[in-house]
Amino acid sequence: MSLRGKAIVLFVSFAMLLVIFVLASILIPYDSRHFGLPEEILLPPSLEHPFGTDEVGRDLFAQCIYGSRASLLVGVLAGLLSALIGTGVGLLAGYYGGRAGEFLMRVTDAFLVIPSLPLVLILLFLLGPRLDHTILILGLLGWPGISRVVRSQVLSFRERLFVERVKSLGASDLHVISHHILPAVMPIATANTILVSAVAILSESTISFLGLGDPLHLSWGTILHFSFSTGALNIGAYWYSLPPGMLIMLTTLYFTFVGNRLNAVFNPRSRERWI
Amino acid sequence: MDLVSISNLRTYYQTGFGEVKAVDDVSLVLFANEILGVAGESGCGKSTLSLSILKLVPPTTKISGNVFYHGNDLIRMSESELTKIRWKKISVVYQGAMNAFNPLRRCRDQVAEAILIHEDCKKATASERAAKLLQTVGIDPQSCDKYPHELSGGMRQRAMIAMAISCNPELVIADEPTTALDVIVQDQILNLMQDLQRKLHLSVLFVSHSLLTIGEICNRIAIMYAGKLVELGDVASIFKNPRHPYTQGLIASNPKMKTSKEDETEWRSIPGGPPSLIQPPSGCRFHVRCASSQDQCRKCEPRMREIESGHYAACYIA
Repeated sequence: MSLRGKAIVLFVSFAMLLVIFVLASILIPYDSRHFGLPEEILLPPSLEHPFGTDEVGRDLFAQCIYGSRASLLVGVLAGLLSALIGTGVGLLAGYYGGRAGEFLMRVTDAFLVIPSLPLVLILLFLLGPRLDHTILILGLLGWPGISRVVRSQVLSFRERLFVERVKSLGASDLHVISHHILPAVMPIATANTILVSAVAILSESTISFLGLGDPLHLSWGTILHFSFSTGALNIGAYWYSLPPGMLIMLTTLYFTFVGNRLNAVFNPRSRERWI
Repeated sequence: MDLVSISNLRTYYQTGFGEVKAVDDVSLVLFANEILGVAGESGCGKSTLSLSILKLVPPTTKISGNVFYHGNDLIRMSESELTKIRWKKISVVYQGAMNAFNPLRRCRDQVAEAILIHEDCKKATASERAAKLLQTVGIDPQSCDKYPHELSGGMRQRAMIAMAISCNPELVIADEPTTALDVIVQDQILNLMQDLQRKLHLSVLFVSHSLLTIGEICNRIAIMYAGKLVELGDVASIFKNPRHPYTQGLIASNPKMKTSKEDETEWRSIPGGPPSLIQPPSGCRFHVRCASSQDQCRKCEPRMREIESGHYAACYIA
């Protein structure tokens, strides 16, 4: 299969997964919050309960599907917020340079060196463990990588002859940035955004695992948190922690692959070369 | 009729090593409806001279003198005033058309972009005109919507020319438009430029290091050396009767086909290379490499003087 074909397959399957996850509550037969009877506690996987049940008899498959919503929502929204800030800062710092650019890059560096996990935990503790807070905090901390990459690309594109030519046409800075620089850095920004999303999903899982997840929005990290606090693994209930763990890993991998393939497709040069 | 008159133009680049005097006190008049060639070695200020006309130089560059265009001094114009002149009145064909196109956008859209920036018209109209322009320069309709890397070097250069004439300018500055093309394609591009010049009554400032291409299409030739104008005249008189030793050297350094054994004209080049433009030599800048240099050449800079009608040279012995 061509590179483009692979990318399309990856992208379409990704979109389908998203749809399934979003429509999950309609598709699955169990309520993830429904407590089971005493004999339904910690049942191993079966046809009736594909992922088994937890310590109060709730269906784990339903929980995993449900949990994807919070995890993906955090990934997508925090990624978008980071992309917005990171691309904006990178464009301005790269295109205008000078003192303002230097200042923006020092701010970026400051954000880059902050150990994000402790900061996220402290902020969540202060603001309260809510999903929107998680998204906001992860989004506001995830952008420096994007802005560095975007800036370095802008620096190189800014010096290209075609940019000089467009300027000599009499185009405004806004026109040059929006029509020539932004499209040129778009692929790399997109790829990096998706990588930031992967990190955001991972961070959200960590936060929830540590117990600062939104109690009203179940996520994969929360399931792991409960499996750990129940001591499920000690009694051999592997089905309690394995599915959410695998889902976190696969989703993160998926975001990374999609990011890389999108990059290859959006770039017109590689498209021609590899088809 | 004078179209652009350049007087005492100085363009000094600021670099970490010092001031590079890329164009130093050049005065020149460009007539309407003519093709003026600017020739010289690499690094003698040809491109800088041509781009200084529109102030297309880095912002730190020191630029002084006058460039009069319809009575207005382009050097003293603000950026916003220059924007109205750039492309609408004076446009540029850059060297290396590959790099002058945005690789991510179709050629036609890029030509249309030039029109849209300067003229208040609909996108569709501009696109329509861009397609027509591309056809004028010999690009078939199927190729209009291709990306720059899908076109050959010659085609890209044609597209570049289409872009240059998109807003009906009076003057086109062609900065080495045929460099990096093979001779057959070079010839096609030269013919195209000549055709367009006649049809659209353009003036062209044609910058090239190749005297042969310049001799092919230009009406007059300006020879530059180390940031100075050293000789100016019409093509026939420059080729038949070069007065400045540098011009003589340039002409002699073009290899010729030997058609008979008696054809003994030797192919020789000018010894040495162009001097540093940070600390140029005193007096005549060419004296270091000149076979017939005298004492006064070292001490005092020769001025341009009219040797025959319309033929100027800056040399004591010319």
